[in-house]
Amino acid sequence: MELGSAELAILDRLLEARTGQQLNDSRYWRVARAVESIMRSHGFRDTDALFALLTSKSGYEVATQIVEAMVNNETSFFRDATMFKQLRNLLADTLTEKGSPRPYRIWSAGCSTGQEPYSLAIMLGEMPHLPGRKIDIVATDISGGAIDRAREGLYSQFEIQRGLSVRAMIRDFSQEDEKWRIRDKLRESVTFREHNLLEPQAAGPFDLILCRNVLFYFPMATRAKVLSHLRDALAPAGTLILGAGETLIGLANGLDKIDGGYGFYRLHSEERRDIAVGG
Amino acid sequence: MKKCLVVDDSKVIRTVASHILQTLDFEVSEAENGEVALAKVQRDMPDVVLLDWNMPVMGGMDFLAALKRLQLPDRPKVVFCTTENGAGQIRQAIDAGADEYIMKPFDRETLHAKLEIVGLA
Repeated sequence: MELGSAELAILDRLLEARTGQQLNDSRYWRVARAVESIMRSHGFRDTDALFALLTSKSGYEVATQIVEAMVNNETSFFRDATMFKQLRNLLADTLTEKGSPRPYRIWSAGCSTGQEPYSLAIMLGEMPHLPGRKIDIVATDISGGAIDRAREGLYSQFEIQRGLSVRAMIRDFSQEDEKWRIRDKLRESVTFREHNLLEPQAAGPFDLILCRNVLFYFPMATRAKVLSHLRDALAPAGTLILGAGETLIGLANGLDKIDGGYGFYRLHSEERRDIAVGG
Repeated sequence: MKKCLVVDDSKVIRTVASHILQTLDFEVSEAENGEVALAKVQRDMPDVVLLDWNMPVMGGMDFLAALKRLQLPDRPKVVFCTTENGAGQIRQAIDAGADEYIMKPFDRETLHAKLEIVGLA
């Protein structure tokens, strides 16, 4: 399906109004598929009818469906094995430190259909030497449909094989016909919520925030706002993990990159002290 | 360059898998059943064997048992790649010594991810 520039402009404005994100090149292929699938499900024969509805007052619901399809990002279990290896080392060091009686809190921001927070839960379950410190995992996404799927924890054969070892699959999932469902104990270890990154995260502070390959979709001005929300939700000694290819150049960010850490950031030392003194 | 032996009685599957593996920088050889694969393993040890379950002459599980009996000092990794997709069969393969398991159909991403898990990508 070919979409004209006027149609793409409508979709761009819709996406930005609802999510603050941009319709950049990497999303064009997804947009055409999203429009096609929504036209099929609503029985529209041509794009004119769909776009007429989209721009009318009664088009809110169909607009929501299109936005959800456009923001539903590609994901997989243990996506970026190097990052997970480094994170495992960081958690092994951090969680074995004596002292804190409070839970260690993790936020997976932009969790899509749940593979990232479940990978964290699986990895933590594979670290039996950790002391009994409680771990909270909160996972959010702007898409209600993605959050529903994540809560359900049911994955196709293609999805389950991407990045997950067969031993973890057999141990942590049960087979239901052609699909695989995450076991209750792991499912219950993650709290899923809808959340728009343009809004502050009220459930902080978090010791670890993962927001990988998400900032890229926001225009520069909005990116700074999202980053400030992430920073505000970070505990003084917490760690923020961005996608390996993402950069904070050009953003006044108050964060220091951790040496050797592939997209790992900490609050700038001055800000850490301010929070500690102030809070 | 790492070596992979693709063992499958389907020429089509061997061709598709070989093509993907070449794009992942593997040197690839092929075998149409477990018996031919066993002879090839002893002649030129691969780093990994991509193994089908059901094949004439010698199937994947018999190949795995025979490979174990060879008591090689440096056994190749074994990744099953099969339409036998039940949890019971998967457990059976792991218990028999398979390192990883791919349920057919598969694509490049899946194969790459599994090779990464066994430390070869």
